Amino acid sequence: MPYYITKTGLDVFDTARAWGLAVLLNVLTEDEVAIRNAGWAFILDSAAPLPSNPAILNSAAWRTLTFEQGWQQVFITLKGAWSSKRDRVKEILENQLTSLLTNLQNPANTVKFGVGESIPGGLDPVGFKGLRHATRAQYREEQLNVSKEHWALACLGMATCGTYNKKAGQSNLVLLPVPQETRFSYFRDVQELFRLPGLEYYGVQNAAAHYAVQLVERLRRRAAAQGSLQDRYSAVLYFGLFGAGQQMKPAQGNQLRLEPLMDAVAKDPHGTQNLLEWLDYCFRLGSTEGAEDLALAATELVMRWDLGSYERLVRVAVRILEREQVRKKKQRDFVAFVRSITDNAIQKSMEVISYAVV
Amino acid sequence: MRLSEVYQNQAVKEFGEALGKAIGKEQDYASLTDLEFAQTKTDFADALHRFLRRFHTMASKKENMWFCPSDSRVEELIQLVDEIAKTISGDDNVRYREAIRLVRAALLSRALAQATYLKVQEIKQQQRAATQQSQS
Repeated sequence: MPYYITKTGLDVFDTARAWGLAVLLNVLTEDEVAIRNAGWAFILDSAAPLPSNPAILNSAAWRTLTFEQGWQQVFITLKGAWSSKRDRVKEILENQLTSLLTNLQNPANTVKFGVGESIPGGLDPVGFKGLRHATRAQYREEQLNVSKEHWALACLGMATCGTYNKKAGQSNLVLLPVPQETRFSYFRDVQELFRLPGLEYYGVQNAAAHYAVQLVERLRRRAAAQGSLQDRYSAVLYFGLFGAGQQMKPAQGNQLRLEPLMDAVAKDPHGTQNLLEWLDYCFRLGSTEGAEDLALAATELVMRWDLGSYERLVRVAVRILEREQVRKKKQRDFVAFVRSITDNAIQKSMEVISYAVV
Repeated sequence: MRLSEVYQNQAVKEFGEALGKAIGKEQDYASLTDLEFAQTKTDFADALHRFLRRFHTMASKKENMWFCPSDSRVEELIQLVDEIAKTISGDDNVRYREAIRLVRAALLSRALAQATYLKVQEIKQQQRAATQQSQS
């Protein structure tokens, strides 16, 4: 029986709800869950039917979900009150599970705005005041409230499948992949796909681009083992949060399209390995002081996949080869970077550019 | 014309590899900058000629003679620019600027692959020398 997460136009909120429902179904059925992006809605289905009287209170997997580190980050704007909000999510989902699931089976289900719980800024930047209307120097804007069941689903999805990256002195980077067509048997497997290495990033775009490359590489490995690309993601949603005095405020945010890389992997899962390795080492070496231009050029290429950004990366890469101070600082990454630049990697990147142009 | 097709062109291959050697072995970044700043067909042809002259000088000093692209390869590259420019819409300035960008991107890609190959050889040599030193 399919479930529908009809889209509201709030990209992060909608995607987080889809992930939240997927995790919920996985916990309830302990079997495979499929998510498909149908444009107007995310359509979810579980391989096993739901138990006639679904209850999650006894599920060990459900209890472990409350230990996710993401909860504190989702409710970062609430500071110390985050755990009470987490408990509120748990309570809503436990008590209203049957009515929520019945409602989501209706393709015409909608999210009510203006009632229920307010969307926290750590979940979706539209939750911040001052972004939806002109405030004219006064915060007259209301909280963005949504019905509590959908709010709880979104919080669950973001806490389990969202990636938060915080380094000292940097803004908080938030990343969430948008599924196109994907299935998983255990939600922890999905979390494994969304890990981000602890590098120094020069902003949220840089982190999002590296995250995208890592995600596609993990999917490529699976595709190479299985013979074809089974799981597809269409984009990575990203935004930054920074501390402004006592409050958190949103920095920039957008989405990074994954189609060019996904198409290349679908066409040739083995051949794209060199390209993804090269890009990965561009980010790794680029996190070194003195090689920032490499990370930024690689970011631009992954974001745009056009001739200008490709040419820039090649120019920078040629110059990096002679930067002794970079080599001395990160000998291993430097050698790996040099070894990763192969004729095959270069030709594959050219193919991706042509896909992106066409 | 696609970048991957330009990359396979013989003139691009020979010139790109020569540029890679010049950068990898002689740190000839002047030629790289020269090519990067070329916006018109004349500028591009001049930059290629200047590089070829420099490369001849570098190659003549090498004991194991480097392969030098011939002057006719410059003409072939310019013909390639003309061919690509014909397929692009817009006025002459735009068409040639875009065509030069495409050929230059392919040249630099070849140069990067060659310079990297030389760097890998250099690293291997250094590692061998370090191993021998530690053994002795």
